[in-house]
Amino acid sequence: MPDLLLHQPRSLDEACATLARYDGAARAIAGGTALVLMLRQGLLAPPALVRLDTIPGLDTIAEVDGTLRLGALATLSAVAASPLVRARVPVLAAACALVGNVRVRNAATLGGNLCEADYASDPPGVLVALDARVRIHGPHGARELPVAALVRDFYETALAPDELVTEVCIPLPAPTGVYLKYVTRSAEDRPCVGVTALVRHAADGRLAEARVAVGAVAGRPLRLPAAEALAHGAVPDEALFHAIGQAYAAAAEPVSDARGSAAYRQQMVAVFVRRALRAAAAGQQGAWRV
Amino acid sequence: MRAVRERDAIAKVTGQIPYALNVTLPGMAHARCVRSPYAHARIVAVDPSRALALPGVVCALTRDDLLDGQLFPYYGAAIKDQPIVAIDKARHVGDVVAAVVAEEPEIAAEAAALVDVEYEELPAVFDPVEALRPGAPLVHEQIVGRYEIPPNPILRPQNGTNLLNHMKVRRGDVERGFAEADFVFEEVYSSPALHHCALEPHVAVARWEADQLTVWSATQNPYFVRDQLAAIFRVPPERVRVIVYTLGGGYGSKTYARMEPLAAVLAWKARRPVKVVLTRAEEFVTTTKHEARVRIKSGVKRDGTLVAREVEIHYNAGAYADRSGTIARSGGIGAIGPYRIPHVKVDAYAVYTNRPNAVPFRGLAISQVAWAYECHTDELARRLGLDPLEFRRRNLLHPGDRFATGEVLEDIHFAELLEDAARAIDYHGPLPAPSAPERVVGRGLAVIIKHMGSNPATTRIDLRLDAAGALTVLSSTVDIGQGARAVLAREAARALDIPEEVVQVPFVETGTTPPDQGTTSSRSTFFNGLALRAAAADLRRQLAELAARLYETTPEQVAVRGGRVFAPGAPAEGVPWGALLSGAGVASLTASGTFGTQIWVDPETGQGKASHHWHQAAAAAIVEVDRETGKLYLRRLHLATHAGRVIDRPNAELQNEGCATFGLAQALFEELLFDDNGQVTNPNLADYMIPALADFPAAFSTTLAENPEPDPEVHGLGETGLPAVPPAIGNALRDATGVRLPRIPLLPERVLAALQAQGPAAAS
Repeated sequence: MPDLLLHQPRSLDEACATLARYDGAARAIAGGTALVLMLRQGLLAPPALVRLDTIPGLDTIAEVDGTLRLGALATLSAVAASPLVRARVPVLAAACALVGNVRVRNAATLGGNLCEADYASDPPGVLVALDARVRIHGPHGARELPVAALVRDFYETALAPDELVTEVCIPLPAPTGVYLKYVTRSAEDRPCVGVTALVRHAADGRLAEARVAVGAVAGRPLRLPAAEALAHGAVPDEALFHAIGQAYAAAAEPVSDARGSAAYRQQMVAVFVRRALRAAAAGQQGAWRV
Repeated sequence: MRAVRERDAIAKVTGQIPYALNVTLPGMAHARCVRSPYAHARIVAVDPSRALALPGVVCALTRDDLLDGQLFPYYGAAIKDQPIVAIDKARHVGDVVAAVVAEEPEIAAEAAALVDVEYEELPAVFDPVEALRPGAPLVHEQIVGRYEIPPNPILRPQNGTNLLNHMKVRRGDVERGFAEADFVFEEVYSSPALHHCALEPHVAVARWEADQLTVWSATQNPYFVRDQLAAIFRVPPERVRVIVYTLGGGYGSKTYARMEPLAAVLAWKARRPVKVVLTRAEEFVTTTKHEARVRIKSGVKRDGTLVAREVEIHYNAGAYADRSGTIARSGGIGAIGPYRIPHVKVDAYAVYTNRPNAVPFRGLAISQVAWAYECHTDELARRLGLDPLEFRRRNLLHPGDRFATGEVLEDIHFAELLEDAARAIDYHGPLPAPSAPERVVGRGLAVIIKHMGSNPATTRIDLRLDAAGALTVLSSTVDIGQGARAVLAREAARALDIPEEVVQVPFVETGTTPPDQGTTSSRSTFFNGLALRAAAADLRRQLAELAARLYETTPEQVAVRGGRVFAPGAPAEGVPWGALLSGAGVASLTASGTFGTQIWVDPETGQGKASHHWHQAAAAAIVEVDRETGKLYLRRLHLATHAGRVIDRPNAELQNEGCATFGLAQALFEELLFDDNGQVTNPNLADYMIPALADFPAAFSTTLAENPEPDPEVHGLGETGLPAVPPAIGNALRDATGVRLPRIPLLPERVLAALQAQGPAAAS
């Protein structure tokens, strides 16, 4: 790993100013689980890194005015263990507990995970299904974006080089459901397909709402409002789950990698959307590796 | 006082046990290799001048340093065909073309990128079958007459081809056998290249002091490394000292010479100590397992009696010979399986290609053929409408039977092991219910035979007793994590009837620990045990003679037991050994014992005695298969191996667990991937899958079968069980779904494609 300068800012403004000074060449570093590998492999050679863990208060997890606010520097372990997250959005806590292995989860941060925009990751799809938004700090102040708009494509986000994600915000109460992480190789592999299905039931037992996000198959998590709309007011049965699964499979434009070919992923999208919806409609809450 | 076993355990968990990786010497510099981006290329020019200009760079090594005759520039486990750095050609992506030495590893890495190499790309060949076709690119233009080839009747390379070795087994008349058979069935099975993934990478530190070379290495073959280094520098072997501490895993990757020649030559050129540590990515192009294709054809009578079997094996040897010649030999001999078959024909080919070097890998040569013959045997039974267990029962080898080599087998237990495996999964009982409606359940068995060691071998053990009463076992067996030093202490204590705690086992240093062939082939415990026994007898004899001299009696009147001698005229409670030595004015006694084996087979017929004894294992698996995804879930695994006698039960069971872990990963997901240009595309532990704890089945059990007689022969366990695991899983998949996949790993996508190819009729 080549020598590089390590900046240790004490505030967000200082961090953004430092990033601005490098005009996009420097990199922010939080947990470092992805960045350090890229540096070691020579995929990145920035002249400087800007530490974010020297800025106080970025790892707070709190519920404020009907929103669950997760500091960008909260580690995946902290999110998984947070009593608040487990009570209010159990699917997110459980999904974070499935990422990588315990050593990765203890270092990797939720904000870092989103900003890396690695397609083969668990949290982005879950957050997209939760309609989560990110708060962004930049030289010209703060702004907000849906996570769905933050992640643009493979390793590409909507952030300017001198902007930082500071918080992930989830509107409460969140619909309930499951995340299914389908791995095709070792148990510690990244997902071949990751499906989040969340539902709200109407008083009559029909579905009031369903949200489905498919992760790990393309550059960004896939949500299909038209397919989700099939669930509105519908009886939660196999025919419905199957139809939504088929719609997602038809719309997916999967990548081929060692975890599965595009054609295989297309089939797995149908299978796991159906299974995730079935589980969510049956009232299950959590995340499972299958 | 604690025994070596506990002392090592404490040192390991407290981070105090030494590894070569931790060796730091005053003035030590660091090396980095320059590696070929091409699978096959002529090297037009190598220019290190830009690298040498970088501050902190000490020197660079190129082919020019090897050509003035000062050094012998090649090394290799059998044929010396591997240059220290490439001389005329690069033969695989990642082949070492030059090396740079610098003050810091980071500077060396930066400098390596500045070495300018001009290549002329050549057509490459990656597949061993294609490599044998006329007109295929030649990996080595000339072998015989150019490279040093040891006198070895087994190894017969030919110029003008990529054929490195051809092993034949001929017994009976296979054509007649097929003619007499009621049913003849042929299949092709294959298994991919793998990488060993030892936690500790290859590491070597070399230091010259005057004309004496010392090398610290993580090697499984210290004496072999010593001799290869001596040959490179054209000095007597005594001038080279190889020191080996504990290894952070080996699995075959640290056999023979790997980075030691380069480290020693760099230290020689730099005139200061040099350390070579490979990066993880370099590891993946340094050692691999032999990819193999196995064509297998059997003839069987209507009653289920096997009458003929023909097997053709292509082992992909990669760019250099290493042990591929003997791998073809051992795989060829083992290819029939543990079955009584009168008519046998085997052709095993080891073939040079432009892939990274294939070297010994846990389960050596046998994993590839066992995957074929155990799936094929299972499939034969099913096609005949016979139960696979019953079909195997009818054809298994029993004591007194002749093996494919013509040798009469004794001390074999295939039937017991197979029955044990079947019992463990309740083979005749109902299958467990599937855990979900889309899943189906099946069970599978496999039984395998494996040689011990591929060559005649000798091991010597020295015992040194000093006047303080301390007993030291001197052995060049390497502790790879298997607990070899603990076993040495335990066996020495047993042979001498003394407490384990008083036995010391120092680390290997070729200047003081005696010669040994290497810690490979599941041979160490067996060889050491018998060499120790001879050394212990020698020490007892010397003690009796010493006591006889001191107490003026005859050695026959002296009893040696419990760390004391008892003699007429000596105190009745006996004399402790230390007191005896002090009393006799002797500073120390050194006793020696050796044990060797002689094995021999005719390369034209495979007839002879191919192994001193045979390793034996059976596995049983219960799997669940998701019919919608093709994913296979391992619910239960049992591994039964023949141990003969168990010395250290927890460690012995861990060897079986290790074999099970390796085996299930190979069955389910482990695979080294290459692109069309011969470049490894998953050279890291995020993309190359090794098993995690969660991959291990919740229900695992193991049997270590022991012989009932009082002092049975010890059988090595390090790799015995591994080859049985993938076919047991493959057969369980077949049982559950009807799908027979000829190729591992059994990735969900491959299983699903096969399920879908069955059509809806078979799916019900």
